[in-house]
Amino acid sequence: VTEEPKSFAELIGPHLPQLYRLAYRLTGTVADAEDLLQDVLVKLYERRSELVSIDSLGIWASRVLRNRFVDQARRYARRRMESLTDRAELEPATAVDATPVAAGFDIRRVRAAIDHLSAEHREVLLLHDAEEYKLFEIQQITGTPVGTLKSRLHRARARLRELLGGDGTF
Amino acid sequence: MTCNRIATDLDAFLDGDLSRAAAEVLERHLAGCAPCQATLRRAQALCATVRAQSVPGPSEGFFERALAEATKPRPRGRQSARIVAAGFLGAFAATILTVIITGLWVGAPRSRVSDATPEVAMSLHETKTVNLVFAAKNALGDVVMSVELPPGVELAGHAAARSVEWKTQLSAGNNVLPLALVAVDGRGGKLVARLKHGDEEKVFVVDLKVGQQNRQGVTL
Repeated sequence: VTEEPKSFAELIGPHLPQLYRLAYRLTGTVADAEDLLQDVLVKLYERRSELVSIDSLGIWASRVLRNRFVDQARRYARRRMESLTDRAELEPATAVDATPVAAGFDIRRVRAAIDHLSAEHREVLLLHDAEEYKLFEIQQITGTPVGTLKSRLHRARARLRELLGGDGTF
Repeated sequence: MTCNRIATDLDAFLDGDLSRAAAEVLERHLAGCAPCQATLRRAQALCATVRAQSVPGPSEGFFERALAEATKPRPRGRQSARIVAAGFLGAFAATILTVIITGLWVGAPRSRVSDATPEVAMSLHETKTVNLVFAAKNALGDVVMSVELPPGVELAGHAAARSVEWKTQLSAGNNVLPLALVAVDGRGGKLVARLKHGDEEKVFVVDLKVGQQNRQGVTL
């Protein structure tokens, strides 16, 4: 029986759910999130000798994933638009089938409004408000200073409130 | 404090970023201003709705498949050499069991190769990573490696590949070839790995048993 050092799978495995969620938040579809994460795992495996010495492997891997997403942002943005088009056909924005939640906000309408935010606003809003990353963690992932992220987050929320209008519909 | 100021400080208040003094001023204003109370409640509700945006899970078995794909042997180019020369690939949680089978390449200082055929127990449709570890005394270039699979056992994610062959190099010391295998029926059989270097050939055979209890750390 051979005593193994920590393997790639043992090192990165515990972070896969978090990386998948990040990939989904960035790309907006399961298929693209899986493609992106698969792609990143291949890259990480090529650098596996570095992994054992990285302190915050989850955040570090998140940054690798986010950079990979940015490298291919045009491709994913096109697919996101296609996905939005498909969703619009499947879920027409009528108030009839809306599912109200607190204070009249409908979860699907909010999602539709989030999809119409700029990529920068959507990213910081989803990472901070949905995934509950701290701003300093988002700084580590994106390389954007905390001050910039904070003002971007506030603008994103303001834009979202504006998109949703006074009655909470979009 | 004015209602306009509320709009400016609202997000900082929601995030707990206001100073204690500024928060107390805002709270005093809120206590006497119904429209601002409504604005705050609405902002809080919107944040809660954003937080409630769900993430659908990945397709079944995705993490295991993705790891197997990321760590599979790559038959062409620089990638394959790096895989073979790299360190161990191990188990992912409890779903991939790693079995170490060590053979010694010719030229090793002391041969410990056994003629016995190692057995690897597999469960049907469960990905198992088998690490073939080849020890070489010296680095060897132009090594041709091939792997032949028995019927009913596939390389994870590459169902059509019954055998693969590629040229690689061995580093001095342990060289690991991780194979992510899936048994698609109960037949099992013998996996044959061959290493050829010039006129020399070394053949390693692993007996894959399907449906038996797993064993860890089988070493020749």
